[in-house]
Amino acid sequence: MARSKNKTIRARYDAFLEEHPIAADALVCASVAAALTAIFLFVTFSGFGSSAEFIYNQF
Amino acid sequence: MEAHTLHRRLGALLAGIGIAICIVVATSLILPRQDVYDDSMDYGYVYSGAKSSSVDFIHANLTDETLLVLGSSEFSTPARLVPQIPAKTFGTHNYGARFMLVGEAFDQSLWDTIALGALAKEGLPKDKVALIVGLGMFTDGGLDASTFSTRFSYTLYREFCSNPRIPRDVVAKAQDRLSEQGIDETTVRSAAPQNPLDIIDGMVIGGIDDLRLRSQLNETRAAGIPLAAGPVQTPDWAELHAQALRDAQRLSTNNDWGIEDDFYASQLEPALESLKDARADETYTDTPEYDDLELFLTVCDSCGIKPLVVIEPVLGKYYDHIGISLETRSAAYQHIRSIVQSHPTAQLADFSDHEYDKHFLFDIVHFGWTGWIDAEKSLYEFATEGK
Repeated sequence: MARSKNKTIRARYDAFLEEHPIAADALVCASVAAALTAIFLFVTFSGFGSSAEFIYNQF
Repeated sequence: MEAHTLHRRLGALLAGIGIAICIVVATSLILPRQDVYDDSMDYGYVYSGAKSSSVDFIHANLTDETLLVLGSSEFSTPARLVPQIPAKTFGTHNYGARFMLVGEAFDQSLWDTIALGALAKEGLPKDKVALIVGLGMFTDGGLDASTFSTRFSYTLYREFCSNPRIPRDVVAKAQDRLSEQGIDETTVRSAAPQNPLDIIDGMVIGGIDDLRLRSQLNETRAAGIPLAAGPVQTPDWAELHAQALRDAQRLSTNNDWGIEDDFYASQLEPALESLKDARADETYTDTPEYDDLELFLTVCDSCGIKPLVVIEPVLGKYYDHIGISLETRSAAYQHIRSIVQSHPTAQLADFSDHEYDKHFLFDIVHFGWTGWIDAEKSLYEFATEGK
């Protein structure tokens, strides 16, 4: 049942790409730009790997 | 998929990459450069990792009368707890000497070596540097890799590698140590590239680090203090010391350890019982830190920089309590002294005999009220000697 539903979704997805090629291209372009931008913003500005706070118990 | 559809999708993918590149370029154009600063402000006393990693920002703010001081967590002490910190003593009076404090918590001799090599590439005022070291840097096992990785600065490391005055075998030693401290090979190699791939790696890692610093430096700029103005004065060290004692008596009232009230009540007192003899196995011998200190002094020699090494004591009574004997500590201090004294141009400001002086520290490891005044006197005399 679930498999048949998935198949239907896949068929509708393929049909959409077939019928709207420009929208599909735009989707690919936007996804790539968004993913790369998100990685860039995270690595550069998130503070990931920022300085450790001083803790006394190491001394 | 048909060939023309495939080509279109590939075009869309490339367009996506192009848009992302445009966003990176736009971000780069929006952020101020690292060397932008307000020349009416003093940023030397701002405690900041971004400042400490930015060669351009530090150099833009060095003057002929500035002494570069490398240290770590002691620079984070707030003035409300210790009104004698350098930002207050030197930042609010024109004593004819300014100080650029560089370093953050957990910066140790390897980080200091790289920072010095990077900053000395363009020369330092009067060819001098001061370095503050404490026993906490020399604990067995050395600094763990995960902590070191949070303090590693690619910008400093790249400048260090490109300093022509540092012998290549010294650079190689630093690279080996970075690898031991968990810095990945791609990063280590890219600052001293041996093939085109290393160059590309360096451009990407360096570019990201540049943008990160440019973004974070805005906070540093906001924390600057107005430059001390007026005629040049001579510090009255006796009066500064007397004031330090008065402040200490006001801020250390709930303990007979001579340390700050809140630290004692919230950190030390609740843990005292469980800490009894808890560190009895510490030897201060099983660490690469001594070799790193030697490496720092070697870079000083190579770059023609005269160093002052300031030895910060620990709180003797506390260290007795946790089981690290005076004998063990004395041996570690002596090891540090012997390394420094093996370099003829290096000077020592050794405060290790103040371990039992009340109010010299405000906690267990950091200069306090009278401690900062004594340390500042040695820094001031070193900065102004021969003036």
